[in-house]
Order: sequence, then structure tokens, then C-alpha cells
Amino acid sequence: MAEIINVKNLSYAYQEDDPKLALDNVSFSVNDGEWIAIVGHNGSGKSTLAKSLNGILVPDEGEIFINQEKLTDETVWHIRDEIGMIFQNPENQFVGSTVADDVAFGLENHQVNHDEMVRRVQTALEQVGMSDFADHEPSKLSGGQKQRVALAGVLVLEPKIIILDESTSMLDPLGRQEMLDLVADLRQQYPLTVLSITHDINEAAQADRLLVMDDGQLVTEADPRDIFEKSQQLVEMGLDVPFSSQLAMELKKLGVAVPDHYLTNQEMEAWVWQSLSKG
Amino acid sequence: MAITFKGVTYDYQAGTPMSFSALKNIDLTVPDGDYLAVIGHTGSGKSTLVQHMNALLKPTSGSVTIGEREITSQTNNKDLKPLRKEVGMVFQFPEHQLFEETVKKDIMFGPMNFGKNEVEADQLADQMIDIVGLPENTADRSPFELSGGQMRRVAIAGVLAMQPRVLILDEPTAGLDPQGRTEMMAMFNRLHQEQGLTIILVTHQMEDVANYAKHVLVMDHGEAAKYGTAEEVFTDVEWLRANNLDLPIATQFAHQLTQRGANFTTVPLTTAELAQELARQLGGKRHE
Repeated sequence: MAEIINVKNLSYAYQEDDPKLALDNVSFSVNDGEWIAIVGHNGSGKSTLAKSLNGILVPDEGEIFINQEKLTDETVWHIRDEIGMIFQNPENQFVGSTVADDVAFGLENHQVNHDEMVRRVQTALEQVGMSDFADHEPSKLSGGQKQRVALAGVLVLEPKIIILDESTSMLDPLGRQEMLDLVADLRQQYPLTVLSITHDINEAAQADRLLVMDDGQLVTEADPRDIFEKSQQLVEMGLDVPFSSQLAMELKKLGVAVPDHYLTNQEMEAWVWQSLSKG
Repeated sequence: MAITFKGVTYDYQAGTPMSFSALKNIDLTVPDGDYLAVIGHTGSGKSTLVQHMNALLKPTSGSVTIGEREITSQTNNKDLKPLRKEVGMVFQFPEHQLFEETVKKDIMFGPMNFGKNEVEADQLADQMIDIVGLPENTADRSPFELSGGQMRRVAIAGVLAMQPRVLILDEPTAGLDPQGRTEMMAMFNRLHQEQGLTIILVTHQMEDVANYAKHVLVMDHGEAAKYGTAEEVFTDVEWLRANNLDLPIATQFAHQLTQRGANFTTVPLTTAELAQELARQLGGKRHE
């Protein structure tokens, strides 16, 4: 499969004389159509990395290739069209007075004629299931709906890559899952590469590959299918320990013999119930 | 410092055809030293409610009494400054309000604005940098070069430096990593325990409500839909489900077990409480 992102030896410091690098010799590549989760503590360099990929920050050292094209002052405008970013707080990215206006905003900078614009805005709103809200005021929507509109505003530009920068962190558990399901759905229909920066273990587990950042460095690559087993390391990765593992740890402390391998919440419930009814 | 709401109604755009009641006839007492969690859906009136607690908003009708001060629709905006010092407010994403050249200057701004001299404000800033867990060497850096989590701490240090007696927190941990979230909630709880700080927490995180809150207020469409201790509120599972509100995960787990036929003498709110109850039941059986 073709490489869509290639990052080579990227380094960045926010201050010239700062001995602590925000990015420290980071290299990785992403194949077209992959879903990559980037995890790590606040301050580990995740957001700095995301901002480098679309040229908001210019690295001190290293090179970035997007779709085989090197990111430079000349190519940055073109490359930004290929990368859509969705942030934590959608309110910061709303500009339009209605949902449709807001989604159309990105197109206005791209000399798209009116009919084409209307068509593409409609399509994008359909893709995220927000067609009924086209005339609504963005600020009156729920958190999950706002993120859907933000996603439509990105999809309308038909990007190849979407970066989700902690974009589900303000949503409740249900809203979070809906957003992830939506992105997964879109990937069935369009060739989208997804980079999700997250602290949410379920979001991380949904990825094809997991990159772990610490102190500006890319410290390890992990298989998302293994992460639930690693409860000790999860905290170090900036992720939450799943509830079933927390309960197992508490029960062990109290002298209850719980199974050593990871159980999902449902499995844990079944195990507890079985043990309770044995007596 | 107690806060009392009597029949408070608040209308946005009052007197226009667009008028909309965001609060409807709210009666509420927050006793001195309380830890109150305010939960409810987006748009239920949580933020409007807490903005009445330091007179950022004045009731359209009814009254809010904050310590000795009574606020009504007639209250003059002029002499509210002492009140703002007593009731500190940490808004959502407070890091967006940072503006000074250095972390220290940013934290000193509040106390100096409320009459502390430079030496006092400097000392307070040092203390707060320590309390919120910022590395010492960040004091002279620009706040804009810090990580998101550190910027949040700077903003909170700035509010704490005013030495308020009541602290209002609107989703204070949104976007922090799990460890940062735990540290920050523990820090607020320490201030609550050690200094008797009254805390009002607006949150979607039911785990935080279960771990820390003494009382819980559920807002719904501008009304106070439910009020009680965390245990009282979370016991009513059917009501919470009907209103699409989440339970703390330990409570939910216990509820599922109850439906299978298990018995709990008390409703566990935290993982530790649940584990204790289960260990007691499992352990007891082992010796039979």
C-alpha cells in the first residue's frame, strides 16, 4: 500500500535555547487508509506533532512528506487541503451563523461556484447525519452534534487525511462512541487515513496501530489489540485503565483470586456473578 | 460562605420575542464548606446557574444571597468586586484567558488587581505554582509555550491566588490526560478538606461526582430536577436512565449484578466501594 505520511527525524523546540525538545527526532510512516492512534501524556508532543503535519508549526529539523510530496513553504497550502483537522473544542472552529454556512466556509477559499458549493455542503451534512440541522445555529447544538458539523466542515474539502486532536474528549461516553462509529463508517465508503490523538482507551483500541509518545519522542509502537492487557503501562501511556482491570486490581488487594488475563466489563460481570452464585 | 437561591428565574433576552428562560424558579442552598456537583445535559442551565453565584449574571426575578450580599435584578453592578474575590470562577478552557508574558505575571495579575502589593502577589504566585503542581522552572516562561495541561494549571493558579472562599469549576479537567485529571481533582479536594474551601463542580464525569461530591444537583431544562447526596441521586437508576444521565461505572456494574439477582446493602459509588462489598460477599462464602 502507498505511503501517505512519511515523517523523517523531526525535531522542534518552542524556545531556541530550550534543552527540552517538544519533538525529539521523531520518525514514522503511515500507509494510505490506515487508522493510527497517537497516545501519550499532556505535554508528550502529540499536538506539536499534529501541528507540524499540516505546517502550522515549522520543525527545526527533519522532513515531512504527505502523499509523496515534501512539505515546504510552497507546498503547504496545497497539502493543507489534503489534511482536515478536528480539535477538542468545536466552538473554537465555528465561523458561520448557520450549520450550512459554517460547513461552506472552507469552500469559499477555493473558488468553488455556488451550485457546486450547495451540492457539496449537502453531501457533507448527509455524510455526518446532520442534514436536518442545516439552518440551525451551530452554538445551539449538543457537543456531539457540534463535532459532527466540524467533521462535515472538513469532509467538504475532500481530504485524504483526517486528524482528530482529542476531538472526542469533551463528549459523554455515548457521544464519543457515535463519533468513532461515524468515522469508522466513513472509512468504509471513502479512502480516508485517520490519525487520532487521544486519551480514550476505546478510541485507541479501534486503531490499526498505536504510536506512543513520551517527552517528545516516539517511544514505542503497539498493537491496539494488546493494550487492554497492559494495565500498568496504560497510565504511563497517558491512557485510562479500563474499569474491569481497576476492579480486578482492587479485588486482588482484598485477597480475592481473580483471573490473570484481561476481562471485558461484560466478562468481568459474568465472572463475578458466577463466583457469587457458587457459594 | 453559604449561597442561597430563592425563586430564581433567569431569562436570556428578557422583554424581547426571543426571550428564553434558562433558569426557572430555582430554590437552592449551598452551605458553607459544601462540595456540590451540578450535572445535566448541555443546555440544561448548569452554566447559567453557576454564573449567578458570583453575580456575573443577575436573576430576572428572585434573589441570590452570597454570604452577606443579596443580588436581585435591581443590584448595582458597581460594588461587586469584593464578591468576585470571594467567589473564584474557573471557566471551561481557562487557558484561553492567559495573556501575560510570563507564567508568574499571569498568576500575579488577580491578587494585584484585588489590592495585594507586588511582593505579596509574588509570594502567592510561588505558593500556587507549587499547589497546582507546575515545575518551578516554568515561572519565568511564557504561558503560551507550555503544554495544554500546564496552561490549564497556570489559569487555575491565577484563580487560587485570589484566595477565594468559594471555587466554581466548570468542567475543569476536560482534555487532560487521565493522570492529570486524577491529580487535579485530588488537588481541589485537598483545598476543600484542608482549607474548608466550598466547591461547586459542573461536570459530565460521574466518577468525579461519586468520588468527591457531598451533594448533587441535577439540572434539566432550566429546572432543579433532583437534589440530594450522591448516594441518593445515583440510587434512582430508572430515573437517571429515563433522563439519559450516566451512572458512575461502579454503580452501573452493581446495578447489572443486581438484575442478575445479586444483593447490595448499600449502593457502591466507587470502584473501591464495589470491590469491598464484593470481597465481603465472596470471602464470606469461601469460609462457609
